Amino acid sequence: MMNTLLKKPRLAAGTLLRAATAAGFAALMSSLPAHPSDGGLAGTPLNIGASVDMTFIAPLRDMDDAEFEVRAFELNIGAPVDPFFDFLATISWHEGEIDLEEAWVSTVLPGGFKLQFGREFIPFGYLNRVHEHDFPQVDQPFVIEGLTTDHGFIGDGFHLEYLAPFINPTLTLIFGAYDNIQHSVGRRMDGFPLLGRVQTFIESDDGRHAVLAGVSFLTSAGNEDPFEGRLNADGQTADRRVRGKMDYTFGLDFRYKFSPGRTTYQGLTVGAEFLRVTYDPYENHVDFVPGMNIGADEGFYIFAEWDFDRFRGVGYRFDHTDVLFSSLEDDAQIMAHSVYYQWRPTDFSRLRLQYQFLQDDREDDDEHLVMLQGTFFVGWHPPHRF
Amino acid sequence: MKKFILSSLLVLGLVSAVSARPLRVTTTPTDLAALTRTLGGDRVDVFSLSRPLQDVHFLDATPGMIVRINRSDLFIENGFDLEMGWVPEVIRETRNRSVRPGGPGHVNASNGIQAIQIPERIHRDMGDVHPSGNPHYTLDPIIAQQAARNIVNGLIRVDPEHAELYRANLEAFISRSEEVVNAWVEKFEPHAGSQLIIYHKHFDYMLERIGLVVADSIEPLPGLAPSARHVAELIRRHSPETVSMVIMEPWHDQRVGRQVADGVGVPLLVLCPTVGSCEGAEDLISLFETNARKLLDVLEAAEGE
Repeated sequence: MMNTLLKKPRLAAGTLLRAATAAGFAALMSSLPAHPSDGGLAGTPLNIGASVDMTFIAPLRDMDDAEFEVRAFELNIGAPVDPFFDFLATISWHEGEIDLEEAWVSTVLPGGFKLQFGREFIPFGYLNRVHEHDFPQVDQPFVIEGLTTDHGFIGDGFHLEYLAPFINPTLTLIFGAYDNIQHSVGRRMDGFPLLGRVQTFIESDDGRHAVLAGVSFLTSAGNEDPFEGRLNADGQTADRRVRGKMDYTFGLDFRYKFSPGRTTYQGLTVGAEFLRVTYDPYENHVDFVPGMNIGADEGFYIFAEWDFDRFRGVGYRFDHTDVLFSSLEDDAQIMAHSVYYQWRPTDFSRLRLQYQFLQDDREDDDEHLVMLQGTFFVGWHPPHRF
Repeated sequence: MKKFILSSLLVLGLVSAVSARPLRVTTTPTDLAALTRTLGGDRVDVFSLSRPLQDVHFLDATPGMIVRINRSDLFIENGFDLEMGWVPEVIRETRNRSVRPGGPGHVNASNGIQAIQIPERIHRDMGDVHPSGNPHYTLDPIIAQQAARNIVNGLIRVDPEHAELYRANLEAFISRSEEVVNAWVEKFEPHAGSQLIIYHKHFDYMLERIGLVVADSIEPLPGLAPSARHVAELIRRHSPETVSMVIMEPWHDQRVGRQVADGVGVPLLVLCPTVGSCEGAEDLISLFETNARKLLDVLEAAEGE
C-alpha cells in the first residue's frame, strides 16, 4: 500500500505527537500543575501527559494480511522554565524505537515576536505540527506520508514568529533556520535548510465561519545537501541509490470551520493541503541511474468532517498525489477515497472506523481497506487547536 | 539636560495617553465580561473570547485570541480549570508578559472562592471532573462577589488612577446582588428542598443558593453522553412526586432532555447558561433573575395543578 520506491527512513528524531505542539502543550500545562503540591517536582510544576495509538488495518481482498499494531506511545513533558521561557519535550516509542521527537524552548520577544529553538516539528503547513494520533483520519494523507515523511518534518534549529497586531484577519510571518531536517527523501536534509511561512486567520463576526490559511516554503541553502534513498526504478535494480539536492518544498494549507447552530459542538470542518517537492539529483553520482530525471512530485488531500455533537462525527477524505520520485515510476500516482466515523466517549479517548478505496498505479489491483483506531490519553486534557 | 526634559515629557505624554483611553480587557466567558463592564463602566473596553452559547470548556485556541490578549491591559479567566483545554496554549503564545499568570495584567477570577463539589480523589473514571471543583460560580452573584473583588484588584493594578471608581462600582455590585438575590431566595422558600434532574452540573451554585436540590443527572458522569440504559433508569427511578422538572443547558441534546422529562412526566426547562444567551440576561444579576424566574414559574405551576 505504501510507497515502495523509497525505503522509509527511521528518523533519529521523531515520531508522533504532532498536534499537541500547540494545544497538547496547553493540555499538558493543565494536567498536574494546577496544584503543584499534588504533582510538582520539587515544588515546580512539571506537566506530564501520555498517549497510546493502536490500529487494526485489514485489506478486504486478503484478510490474512490484516495487521494489528500499537502504532505509537508518547510521553510529553512540559512546563514554564521561568517567566521567560517555556519548555516541551516529546519522547516517543514508534515501531520499536524510542525517539526524542521534540525538545524545544520558546520565549516571547518585544514587538510581537516569538522565538522557539531546539528540536521541533517545523511550522510547515498544517498537519506537520499535528501529532499522528491527532490526525483527522486513521492514516495520514498520502501526500504527507509520501512526500515528507511518516513522521513529519522534524528540524534542529529555530524559528522566529511574528504576529502582526491585526485581530481579524490575523497575519503571522514565520522564518526558520535549521541545522538539518529529517525528511523522507533521505534520513536528513542538511545544509542549513530555511523555512518561510505566511499564515492568516479570519472569522466572521458571529463566529460561525472561520478560516486558517497558510503558504509555506522550505529550501536548502547549501550545495552539499544530498538526499538519498533506495530506488527500484526499473523494478529490477532494487537497491540502487540516488543522491542529489532537494531544491525546495512548497505547501499551501487551508482549514475552514462552520458552526451552523448556536452551540459549540456541532459543525463542519474542511481541511486541505497541497505540496510540491522539487529535486536536483547529482547525475554523476555513481549510483544514479543515467538518463533519469527526478523532477518534482506534488499532490494534495482534502477532507470534510461533520460533527453531530461532542461525541460523534463522520468524514470523507480524497487523496491525489504523485508517488515519491514519480518520474522514475512512469509518473505513478496514488488516488484514494476514505470515509470514516469517529466516536469520542470522552475527551480522553477516541475510536475510529475507516474504509478506504485505494488506487496505486504501481499496484496491479485496487485496494479496499478497513481500519480501526483507538487513541487514548492520560494526564492531560486533549488539545483544542483550530 | 534638554534631552532629559524632552524625554520625560514624552514619557509623561505617553502615560497620560494610555491613561486616557479605556482599558482593554479580555475575558474567557461572557459572564466575566459583563461583570467587568459593571465594575469598570466607561473605563473598560471588554471583549469575551467565548460567545454566549459556546461551552467554555471546549474552544479552539485561535490566532485571533492571541492577538486579542497581546493587546489587552488585563486578561481575566474564570479559573477552576474551566478553560484548561485552551487558555494555557493561548497564554503561552501571547507576546504580552503582563497578562501571563503572575503578571499585573492577569486575573484568575476564582481566587478566594470556595468551590463546591471538589472531588476527594481525582480519577478519570469519575468522568471529566474539575480537580478544583465546580467552575460555574458566576451563576450565583453572591459567590461572584469574590470574583468581582479579584477583577477590581486587577483593574486597580493596571489603572490605579481610577481606583476609587472601581471600588465604588464594586460596592454597588455587592449591594445590588445582595438585594436581588435575597429577594429571590425568599420567593423560593416555599419550594426549598424541591428536587430536579439536571443535565450537567452547570447551575449547581445557583440551585444551592435558592434551596433546590439536584436529584439526578442526565450525564451519568460529568462530560459523558447518557446511554439509553441510563436514560431508561432515570425514567424508571423518578416521577412527578420525586422531581419537579428537568433543567438543561441549550448546548446539549434537547431530544434527550425531552425524553427524560416526558418519561418522568415533568416539564423540561432550558435555562440560560451565560450572560447573553437569553434575552434579558445582560449581566450576572439579570442572568440570575432570568433563570430564577423560569424556575419559579415551573414550581408555581406545578403547585397550582
